[in-house]
Amino acid sequence: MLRLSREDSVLLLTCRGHLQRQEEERLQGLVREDVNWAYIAWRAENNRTIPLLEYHLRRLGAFDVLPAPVKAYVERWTVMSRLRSALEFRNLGRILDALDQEGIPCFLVKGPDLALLYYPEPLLRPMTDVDIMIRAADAWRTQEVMFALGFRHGIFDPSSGGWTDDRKPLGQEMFRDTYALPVFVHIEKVEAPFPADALPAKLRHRHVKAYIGSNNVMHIPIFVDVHFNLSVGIDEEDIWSGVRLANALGRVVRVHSPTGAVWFLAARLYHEAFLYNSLRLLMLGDLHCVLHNQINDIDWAEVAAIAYKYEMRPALYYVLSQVRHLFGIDIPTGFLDLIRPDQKEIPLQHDWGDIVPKLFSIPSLHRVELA
Amino acid sequence: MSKARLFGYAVDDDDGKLVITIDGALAETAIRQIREGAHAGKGGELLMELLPISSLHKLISREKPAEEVLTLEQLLGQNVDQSFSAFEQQLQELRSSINDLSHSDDPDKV
Repeated sequence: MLRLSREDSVLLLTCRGHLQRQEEERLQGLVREDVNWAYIAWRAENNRTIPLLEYHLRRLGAFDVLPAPVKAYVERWTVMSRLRSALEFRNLGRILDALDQEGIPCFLVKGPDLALLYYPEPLLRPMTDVDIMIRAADAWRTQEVMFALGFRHGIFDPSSGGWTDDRKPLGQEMFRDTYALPVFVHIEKVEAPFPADALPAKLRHRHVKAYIGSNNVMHIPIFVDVHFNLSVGIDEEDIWSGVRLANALGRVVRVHSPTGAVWFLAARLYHEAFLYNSLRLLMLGDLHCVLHNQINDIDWAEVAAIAYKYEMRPALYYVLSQVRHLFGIDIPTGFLDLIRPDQKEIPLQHDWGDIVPKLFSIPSLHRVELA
Repeated sequence: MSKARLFGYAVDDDDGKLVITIDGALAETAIRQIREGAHAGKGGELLMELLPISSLHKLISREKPAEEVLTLEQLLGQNVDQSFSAFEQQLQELRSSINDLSHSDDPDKV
């Protein structure tokens, strides 16, 4: 049994958009106890769940228990994130329109798909970038469309507002080695909601990138990731399987299938954590949001087929088993048994065990006894 | 040779109120700049230079510390890059700025 600390329990409860009544009461109970809010803010920041923490504490009337500097930090982080999301959605609308006019099919994936379709409010889920999926054959035409819209390839420096242009021609090797075009960037300029010195440099440089000039104008980069795959080596037919239509941003758009979102999010959460040390409770919350809303539309046979085809069984087994256990989501046990790594087979390469200790950086040891 | 006042500056105590008077040819430009600066949200930088009690306006015209030069990893990286103790230090700095703001918001404390 791994017992989470009060702080980690708050983090787990506030990493998603929807809570059951008993979970809300649990959170309210924890808030009344002695918890280290600075620690929670630090972990939530790196897990990208600060706006969700703010959302749940505020709606449960518990936000004022935070110490003043933590409260100010969480508030400012959230305002910056929401402002960035609003600008991202504005840009996404014009990208979708332009691609549509050029007859380039695409669908929403990752951040915009999740934020618009599954979260209680579209601005609640922070988006570092805007992700859309195209077909590989449309890569060159899409790049031209993005350039025509004013997007560029390059690097934005939030410490100075500087920009280094880095226009990249698209080569065939890109399709072999990566799964997205070089990131597109457009710099939005809006009135800053805070003076620069009210936002710690780390927040502006790392988490919600922005440069605030002396005239109070904020330069905020909008990053757009145009994918032609979700990872190297996935067949295009598996990416586009089940893509459907939905109403979003005042138009009818293609969106990722819930089944596709489930296997992709579970696999990504697991591999980002163990391969890249990128700990994202937000992705666990994403999974919960999709399953909370669409559990009856998930094709578990397809998820199992993908797990076998791409050797994702450990990732999907550990993550989805914990989603079932931690959040009470009714993932079929028959499905979990089917993808469970077997001790009698050749050990699977990407099997690092349970995801939860890694997500919370808990150095846990199993107590071992001889038979 | 005719004499014209180029710039006059006086500070008077008028029944407990601090009255600053500037006049002369240069003052007209200065007044315009102060007005434009305030509209543009510059925080009265010129005003601060004119005032003898700059500490009064340290918040609205605080000198910005030089921003650190970011490496490519810092520009592109997304992983955890500061310890909890470094984060606590950051919060401590935020606490100071909140205190400064709350003092400046309270006219009795000026």
